[in-house]
Amino acid sequence: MAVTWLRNPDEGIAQAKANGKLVMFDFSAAPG
Amino acid sequence: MQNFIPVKIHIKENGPAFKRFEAQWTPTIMILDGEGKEHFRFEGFLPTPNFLAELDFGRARAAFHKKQWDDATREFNSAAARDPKTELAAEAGYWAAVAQYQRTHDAATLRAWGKKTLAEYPNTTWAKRAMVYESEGTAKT
Repeated sequence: MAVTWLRNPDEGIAQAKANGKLVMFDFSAAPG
Repeated sequence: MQNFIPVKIHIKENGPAFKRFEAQWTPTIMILDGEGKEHFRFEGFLPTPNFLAELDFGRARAAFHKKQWDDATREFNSAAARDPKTELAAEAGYWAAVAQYQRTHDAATLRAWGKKTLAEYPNTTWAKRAMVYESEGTAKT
C-alpha cells in the first residue's frame, strides 16, 4: 500500500491527534 | 508504517522546521504524539529491518511515557526480535523488563532480565547495567 507523506509537521501532529496515532517526521536532505 | 502519520520535512522546503525541532543531521527520524511531544529520534540511514526495529522502539517509548506498560513491553520485545543480537535489542530488553516491573513491582522481572542480558549480550553496556541483578536479591529498585 502506497504511503502518503504529508509535508507540514503541524498537519501531521493534528492528524495523529485526530486518529489516535503517532506521527513520524523524516527530516531529509535527499534529492528528489 | 501504518501506525504512524508520516511527514517528510525537506531541508530545502522547510528549513525552519529543522530549527524548531532541533534536527541537526539528515536523515533524522522523530516520533511524536498528537500533542506534539517527542518520544524518540534516531539519525542515519539504516537497512530496513534495523529501521523497523527503531520504529518499534519509538512506539514503545511513547507507550512507556504514557505508562501503557503492556503496550510498551510488546513493542520493546518486537524491536528486539526484529534486530536481535544488537545493542538496540539489549536496550529494548532492558526497557521491556522495566515496563513489566512498573506494572507488577516484581523485582524477579529485573533479575530475569539481568541473567538473560549477561548471557546473550555480554559485550554491551546493558550487560554492565545487568551486573547489579546478577545475584539473587541484590536488585535495588
